[in-house]
Amino acid sequence: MSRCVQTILTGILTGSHFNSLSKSEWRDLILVARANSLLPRVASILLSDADNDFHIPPTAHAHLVASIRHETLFHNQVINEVKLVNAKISRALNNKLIVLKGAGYVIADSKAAKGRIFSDIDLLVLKDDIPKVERALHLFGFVSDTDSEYDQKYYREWAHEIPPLRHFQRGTVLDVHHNIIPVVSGRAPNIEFFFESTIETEYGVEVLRPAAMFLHSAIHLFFSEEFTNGFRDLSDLSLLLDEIVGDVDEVDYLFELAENTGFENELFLAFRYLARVFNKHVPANVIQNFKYPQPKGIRLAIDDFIFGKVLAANHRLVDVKFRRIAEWLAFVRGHLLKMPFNILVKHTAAKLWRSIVKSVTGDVENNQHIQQKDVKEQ
Amino acid sequence: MSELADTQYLNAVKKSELNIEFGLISVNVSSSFSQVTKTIAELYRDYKVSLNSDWFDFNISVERPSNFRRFFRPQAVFKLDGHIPFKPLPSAHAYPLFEWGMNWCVANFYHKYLIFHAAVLEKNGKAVIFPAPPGSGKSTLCASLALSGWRLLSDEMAVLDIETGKVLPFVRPICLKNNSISLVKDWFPEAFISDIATDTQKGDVAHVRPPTDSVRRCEESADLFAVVFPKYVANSPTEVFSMTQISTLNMLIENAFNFDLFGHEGFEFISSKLPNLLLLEATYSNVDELRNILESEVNN
Repeated sequence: MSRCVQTILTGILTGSHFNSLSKSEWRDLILVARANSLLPRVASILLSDADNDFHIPPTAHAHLVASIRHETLFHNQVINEVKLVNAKISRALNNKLIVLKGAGYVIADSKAAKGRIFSDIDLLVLKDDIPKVERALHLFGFVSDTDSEYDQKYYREWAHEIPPLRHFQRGTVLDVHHNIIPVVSGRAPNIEFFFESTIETEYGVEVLRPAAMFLHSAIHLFFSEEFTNGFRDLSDLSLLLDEIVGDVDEVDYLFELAENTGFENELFLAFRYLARVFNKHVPANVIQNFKYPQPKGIRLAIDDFIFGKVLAANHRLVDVKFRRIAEWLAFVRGHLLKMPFNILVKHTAAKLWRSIVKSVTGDVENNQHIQQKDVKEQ
Repeated sequence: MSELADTQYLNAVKKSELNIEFGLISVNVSSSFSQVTKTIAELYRDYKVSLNSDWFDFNISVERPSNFRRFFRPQAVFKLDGHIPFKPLPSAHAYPLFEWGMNWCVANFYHKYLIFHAAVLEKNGKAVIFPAPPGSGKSTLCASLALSGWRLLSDEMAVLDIETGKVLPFVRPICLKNNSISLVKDWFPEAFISDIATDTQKGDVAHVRPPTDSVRRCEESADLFAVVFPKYVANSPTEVFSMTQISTLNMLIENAFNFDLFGHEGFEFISSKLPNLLLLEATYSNVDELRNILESEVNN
């Protein structure tokens, strides 16, 4: 009887699994890790940790080495791009440039940078600085990715960021934010709290301090409507948690920041599903800091149903009953959190129309782990 | 493959139970197109296959997309482990899509080895790499050499092991385009060439079954001997020029799939190899003349 591949995967990712695998378990591990954007992370854990007892067969080793090569180059490119962008726009800013999420982990050299691949660089600047930053970036070759009038309006009026900017030659995509969640949601925090939660890095830009990094990652995950990389995001949270559990001040700061910004529920959900889906041990001295009345009853049951499924590894080899229903509920939940109902109806109508046109004209779209690409480019 | 009974083969390929063993990698293949399963059986006749193996490097398939397009101007999609990495093609191009998709998997994910876009052939234990952009006549030259006693290592990818310094075979059917299809048919009437897929992005396309001996020796690496940049120019005399190391390096990088992923290691490897290799640029219109020149070099 073969072990569940998700158990093997979480075992490796949380550092608690040290047994050898059969050939077919290696095959399944690589498939599931790759589909969930976790192959480089699995590789960096297995190849760097000399203490584990894994005998890695050469066939599997080839794929691990390959993904590490990819990650190393990618991280070098991200650091260069951040330095370049900072050099171009820092004079337009009244505050130091703050790098968020994946690029932030890399810049901070956080544990969560390990094997992390992402598609765009997220930046946080003061809202008042946005017009200047946008002009400066235009000048240096970053142009808006979308020409749809609807998208432009959506971003300008309701979002917490401007439309993504793509460099016309290098293809790098920048997401410039002035808040961490959409303004229209009514939950956008006083962003000052996050501007005060940063640390300097050797690259001249700032990143969030570990506690704020964890909280932001949790907020981002539990405000999503789409969970293609949900399992990977849990893995990020697991590593980000490792950065703070040993530091009482950071743990205190985490709960203080969650309280000040109104995101205690997201923090609660992060701990809950780290333990339930990811088999992550969350120390009692961390959990006991909760003053906030914890959700229970039907609300908690619904959350458990949704997140117990959508945060599981996404692959046909991981059998999750009713996953589609949970995904649909998560989709509705995510949208309701982000926008008031009347705006949601308008937004859904616009998106639905677009997808009808697509399905009739026969565009097969793939929003999974592999970048869409024409065979022609081969 | 040829030892499998027809029904056994069709059953396995429909149920994703068939692995083709390339030596370099093992690929699980399946398709709902009979055109694709038929062509795989023809072109991969001499390959080792395994059924229900506990390992594969990639699981690929060519399927019908699940949307309304199924009913008019039908399409084919390529899938890697169930995911669709690029846009569908007309269903008449399903077989080339299968081959190109497999190339894409290796070029995008298999970064254990340094890979260049090049044909590789060997004679007398000496491997010659032919890196070249489309239109240079690389595949025609490759087919001509492979069908005249040279061992085919690859039509598309030079796979270099930077640890051993050797070039590894990735033997696959040779992809011929447009006029070269009828040329190769005329020159080698006994060679097996697949049905032609017309009007693809690369024009008309057909695949040549690789020679049995090359397939059997798919685990046998070879020593690098020369890098030759072929350039087909209609009605030109056959002329061979010596290349400098620096321009060879530049042209190799232009034809690399993953050179950037190897950083210093890759650069050091190539730089240490080039001084010991024969570096040539060849202008030709007559393939036989060029082959004679190359044969006199490897027989030296």
